[in-house]
Amino acid sequence: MLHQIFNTKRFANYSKYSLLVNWRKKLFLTAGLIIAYVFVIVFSLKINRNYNNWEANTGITFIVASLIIISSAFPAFRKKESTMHFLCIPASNFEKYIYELFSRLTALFVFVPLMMILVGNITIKLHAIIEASRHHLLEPRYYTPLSFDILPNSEKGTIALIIFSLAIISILFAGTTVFRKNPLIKTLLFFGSITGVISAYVFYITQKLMPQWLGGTTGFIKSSNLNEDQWAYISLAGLTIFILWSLTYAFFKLKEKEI
Amino acid sequence: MIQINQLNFGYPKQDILFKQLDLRINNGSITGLLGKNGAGKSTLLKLMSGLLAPKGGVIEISSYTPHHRLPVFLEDIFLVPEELFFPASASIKNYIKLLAPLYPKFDHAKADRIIKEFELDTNKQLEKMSYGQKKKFIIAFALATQAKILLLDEPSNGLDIPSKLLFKKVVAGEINDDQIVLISTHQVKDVENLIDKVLIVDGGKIILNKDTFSLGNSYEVKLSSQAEEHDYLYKEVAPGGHKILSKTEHGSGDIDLEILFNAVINGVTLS
Repeated sequence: MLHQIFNTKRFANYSKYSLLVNWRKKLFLTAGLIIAYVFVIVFSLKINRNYNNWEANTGITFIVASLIIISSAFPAFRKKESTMHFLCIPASNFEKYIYELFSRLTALFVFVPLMMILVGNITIKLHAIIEASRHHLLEPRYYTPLSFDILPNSEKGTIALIIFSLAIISILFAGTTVFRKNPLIKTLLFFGSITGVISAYVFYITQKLMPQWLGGTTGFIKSSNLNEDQWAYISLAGLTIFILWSLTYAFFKLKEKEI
Repeated sequence: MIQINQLNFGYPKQDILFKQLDLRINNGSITGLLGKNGAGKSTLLKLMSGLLAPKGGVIEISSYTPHHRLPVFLEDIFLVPEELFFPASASIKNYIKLLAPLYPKFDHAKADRIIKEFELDTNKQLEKMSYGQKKKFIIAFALATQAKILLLDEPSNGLDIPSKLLFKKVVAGEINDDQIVLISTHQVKDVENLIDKVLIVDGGKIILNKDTFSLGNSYEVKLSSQAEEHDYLYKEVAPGGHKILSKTEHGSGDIDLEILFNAVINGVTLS
């Protein structure tokens, strides 16, 4: 029975099929995006003359790329015909799920940074050709994503950022198994609405029943028996449970999927 | 073997499609699944392939529950749907190279033979092919998987007349003795002389489940200019008179499926 849940050879065959079957389309799309992005940076440099932190927008690019990559998981579910094809491929639900999850994470944390290095360095080389007289002004001269520091200074802040990012990733991933069209927008709207309603309700209760909480987060923490760190750990534990719930939910949505 | 007991199914916010439907199909047959538009032929194939879950009753295919979609089940069943899907930039060669390893019994020689017979270019991208060419390719792929159960939903739709004949020849010639081929169609003529069993679904139930040879032995269809002279079960207007379905003790073994279908759908009970 375990063989029916996961089999290395079958998983390798399935991954190979999923990865390579549209390789031409993926290659052209990637090349197109790289070229477009390089030209956007080079021409914005020409207009803005902002030579010192031209790479700053890579942080935003990374966030946008993350949202797009994660919310394009299970691409087959966007159409009825492709859903039928996907569900009939002889691989287990677990293998299909693992492939989608890990291919998205790999794309996000390996492929996108590599592309950013490539884009950054092509930009520098192209700038040297078309703006030779001003090229000495361009900093940095060599580009790595690490040259743009997006992580907070504290270790706790970094952990919090990672867990928060994973929570967003997991809910978006779950959203792709639920919504057929525009999963990114629908998941954000749906989840944003729920969070908004809960926040409004909690705020209402706070106003009526717990006036000592009205000092915002600080007032709330002071009125409790726990300190700031302990509350941070509880919040992160809550987020971790939420991540696990979202990922489990996505698996069961795939398993029960019908057309 | 396909075994369905007391199947209930209906789409949300629609009338129930199948009520207490029972069906059994043994290995080694080419079965025609006939029915009017909306009778549930495609839905029945989707239930069999695990794309839909029944609301009640049991479906067992080779002792597996389809909706569990276990790999061992999916390796041994192939659905050719009416609405085809192919990855955007894949060629026939590429598609076979990447997808065939997931079907352990895939016969490359058979695939090559059928593709050649259908006159398909293996280097051509699938998305650039006509609907009929895509249909021929997916039929070739389905047969080459050597899956025990082949479910073909309106396979002759989009095929030109020579291709329809070729389709019958290829299916009849390339299937193994232990395979079940279930062909859903509303174009009855397209499966004539191909199927050895006929299923007619109507009103949520299977209203006829018989082998064509015994039907051909017990019933005959004749063209007559004077319908009143015959003791018939069913008649309909045809060029040159009436087509008449009547009982016989010395049938030829062949049967006109179209008139048989019309008779059954119009309430004639065949013993």
